[in-house]
Amino acid sequence: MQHLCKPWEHRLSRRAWLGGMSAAGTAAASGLPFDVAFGEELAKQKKQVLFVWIDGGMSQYESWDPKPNSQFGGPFRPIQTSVPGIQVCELMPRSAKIMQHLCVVRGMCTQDNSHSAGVPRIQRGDPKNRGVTYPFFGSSVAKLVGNQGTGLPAYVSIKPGNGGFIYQDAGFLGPQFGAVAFGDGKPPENMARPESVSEADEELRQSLRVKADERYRLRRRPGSAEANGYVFESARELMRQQSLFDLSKVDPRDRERYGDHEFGRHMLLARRMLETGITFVKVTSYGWDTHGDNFNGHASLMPRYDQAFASIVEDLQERGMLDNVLVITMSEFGRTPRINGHVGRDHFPEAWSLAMSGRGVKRGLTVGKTNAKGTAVEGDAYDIGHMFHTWFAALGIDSAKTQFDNHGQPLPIAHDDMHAVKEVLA
Amino acid sequence: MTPELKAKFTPKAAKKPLELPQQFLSACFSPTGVFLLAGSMEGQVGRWSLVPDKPEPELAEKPPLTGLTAWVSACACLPDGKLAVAADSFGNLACWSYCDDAAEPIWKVENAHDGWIRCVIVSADGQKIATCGRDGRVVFWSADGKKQSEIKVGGDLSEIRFAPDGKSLFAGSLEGKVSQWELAGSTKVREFDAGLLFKPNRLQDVGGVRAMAVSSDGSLLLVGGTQPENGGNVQGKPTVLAFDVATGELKKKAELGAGGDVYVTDLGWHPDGCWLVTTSGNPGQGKFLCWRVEDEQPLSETKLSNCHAVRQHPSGKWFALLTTNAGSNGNGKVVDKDGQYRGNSSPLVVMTFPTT
Repeated sequence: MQHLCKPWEHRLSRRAWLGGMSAAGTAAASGLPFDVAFGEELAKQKKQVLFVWIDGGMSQYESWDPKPNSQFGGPFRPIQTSVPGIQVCELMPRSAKIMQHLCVVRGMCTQDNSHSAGVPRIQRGDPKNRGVTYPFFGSSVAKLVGNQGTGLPAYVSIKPGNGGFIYQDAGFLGPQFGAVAFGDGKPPENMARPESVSEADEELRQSLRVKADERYRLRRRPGSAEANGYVFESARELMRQQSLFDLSKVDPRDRERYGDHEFGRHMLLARRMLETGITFVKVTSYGWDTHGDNFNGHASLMPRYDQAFASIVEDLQERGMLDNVLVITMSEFGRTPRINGHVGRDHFPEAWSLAMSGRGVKRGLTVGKTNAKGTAVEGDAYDIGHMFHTWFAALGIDSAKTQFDNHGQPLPIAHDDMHAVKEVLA
Repeated sequence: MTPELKAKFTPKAAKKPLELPQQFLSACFSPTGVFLLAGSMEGQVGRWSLVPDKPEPELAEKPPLTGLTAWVSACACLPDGKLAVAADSFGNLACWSYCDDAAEPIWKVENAHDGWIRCVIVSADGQKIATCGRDGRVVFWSADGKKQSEIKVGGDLSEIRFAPDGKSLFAGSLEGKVSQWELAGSTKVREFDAGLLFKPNRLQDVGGVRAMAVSSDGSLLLVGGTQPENGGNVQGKPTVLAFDVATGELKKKAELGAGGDVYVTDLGWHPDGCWLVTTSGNPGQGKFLCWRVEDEQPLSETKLSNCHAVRQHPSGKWFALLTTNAGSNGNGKVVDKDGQYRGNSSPLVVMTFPTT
C-alpha cells in the first residue's frame, strides 16, 4: 500500500504563493529586512530543511559534548549555555547563547567508520539492504515535499569546489530529485540571458525546447526526460533569481556576523535561499578530518562554524521561520576519544553528537548521553535510521505509513526496524 | 661535515624507554638533575627522581604534582633548585616545591590567562616567570606568583623565549608571526617573517610556530614548524627558519623531513655544538635530529615514534625524549586483548652521544 504524499497536500494556493514569492524574492534580492509578517505566514505553511554537513567529522569533545578533566577530554574548557545545566565547548560561544533554540543529540551510535562508505551511508539513512540505492535525505525531501510551487529546485547544495547537478544523490528516485549544487556559492555558469537575446526570442527558444523535449520523452525512459525538463525549468527560474547570489547587496553587518570566510558566505547564501522558499538547502564545509593537530585545528574551525551556524539560527528565529525550517547540523561520525601521536583524533561512530533546531523539534535540551570519558553511549543509542524517522516526523511525514515507489516496488522511507526519537519531537 | 663529526653526534639509545603512564606534553629537569617533571594531558605534573649510581639513567616515580586541570602544556624549573612552575589549558598557573613530598602547589593563580597557556619560561636569574597563550598576552610573574606586567602581543601565542641578556623576549604565534619585545618599555623592536610556516586552509588556520630557540650568544633565532600543505590531517615538511636577530633577516630555511613528518616540535642547543631537533608527524612518524645551521644535511637522524620534546640532563651526559607509543591511532573503538579501550602513553627515550 502506497502512502506517498500527494502534491496538493503541500501546495499553497498559487496566488498566495506567487504573492509570497514576490515579497520574499524582492526582500532577499534587495538585501532589505525580511518581512517578518510574511515570514510568519510562511512558517505556518511551508516545510523547509537546512542541512549543515560538516564533512570529515567534527569532534564531539570540542563541540557539543565536552568532557572536561577526563582522560580524553582535551585542552578546552566547557562553557555554560543559555539553558541551565547544558554545557558546550568554549570554542562555540555563540551557539551556547542560543541553546534555547537547539536540541543536541549526544547519543549517536552509527555503523561506519570510513568516509568513503560512511558519508553516503549516513546521508541515505543506512536502511536495510534491499539491493537498491537509497536517496540522500535531501532527495527524499525533494520527492516527498517537492518544491512547494516555487519553480525553484527543491534540493540545492552550497558547497566548496565544483557545482553542477548531483543526480547520484537521488538513488532510485531518479535524477530529477538530485541536488543542484552551487560550487563555491556561485550560480551556474552562463545562467544569465545574453543581452543579445530578447525576452521574446527567449520565449520562442523555450517553446522550441519544450517541443524537442516532448519528442525526446517519447523515445526515452520517463525518468531521464522528466529530469531534463525539470532541470531546464529550474534553471530558468534561477535565471530570474540571480541576484540571490550577489552577497554584495546584503547588509554588511550580516556579512560580518556570518563571517568573512567560505562557510560564513555559504550560510548567508543559504539563508537567502530559504527566504526565497527553496525546500531543502544543504551547506557543506570541508576540512574537518583532523587526524593530525585536532585541537589547534578545532581552535580555528569551530569559532568560524559557530559564528555562521548561530547567526543563521538567530536569523531564522527573528524572521519567524524557525517554525517551518528544520535545521540539522552533523558529520558522518565523531572523533575518537583516544588522542594519537599526531595529536589528532581518528574516526569514531560509536558515540557522537549532532544538533537540530526548528520545525517539529523540541528546543533547549540534550537527548541521549555518553559516559564520563565519552567512550560509549549510556542508555538509548541512536543510529542514523532513528534520525531519519525523527526528521520525517518533524516535517509532518509519517514514516510508518509513507513509502517510496521504486517502479512498483514499495520501499520504506527509513530503516524499518527503527523509529522516531520521541524525546526530540515537539 | 666529517665522518668523525657525524659519529660524534650520532646518538645511541639506552636499553629500553622509561614507560610513562599517560600522554605527556612537556618536561623539564631540575637544575641538579635529580628530578624530572612532565606535564600530562590529564591535569598532572608527573614527578620522577633519578635513581643514583646506575649504569643507565633510571627513574623512580614520585607522587605527581596536583592542582592543575586538563592539559599541562608547559612546565619549567626555577634555578634555585627548589621550585617549579607549570600551567594548564584552562588558564591556571601553579608553583610547587618539588623536592617535598607534598603534591599541592605552594601558590596558584587561577585564570592567569583566558584559556590555554601554551608556554611557561623562567629567566636565567629566576626573577621572572613568563607565560603566554591563546589570549595573545605575555604575562610576567615574580617567583612568588605576583603579576608584574604584561604585553599584549596578539594572536594565539605558542612560544616565548628570553634573550640571553634577559632584556628582551621573543614571541611566536600559531599565525606564523614572530616578534621581539624590549622588556623595559614593553615595546616591539623587531618582527621576523615566519609566514612560511602558516597557511589558512578553508576554515582552518594551519601550522604556525611550534618551537623556538635562541643561540647562547643571542645572535640567532630559530623558529620551527611545518610548511603546511593542508588542514584536517595536517601534512607538511618539518622546517626550521634561522633568523639573524640583529637584522631580522632569514639566514637559513632547513627542511628536515618529508610531507608526512609534519612538525618540528622542539629545538634545543647542545653545548658540544649542534642543535637538537624533534619532529612529529603522522602517527608513528617522528625523528630526533642533530643539526647545524651551516650544514645542508643533519649530522644524524634517529627515527622515534612521534617525538614531542627533547630535554638535556644538566650533567650533559644524556637527554630525554618524549615520544608516543607505536600504534597510537585507529578508527573506531579499538580495544586491546582484554577488551579495554585504552589511551596512549609517552615512552621516555633516553639517549647519549658516544663521547659522553
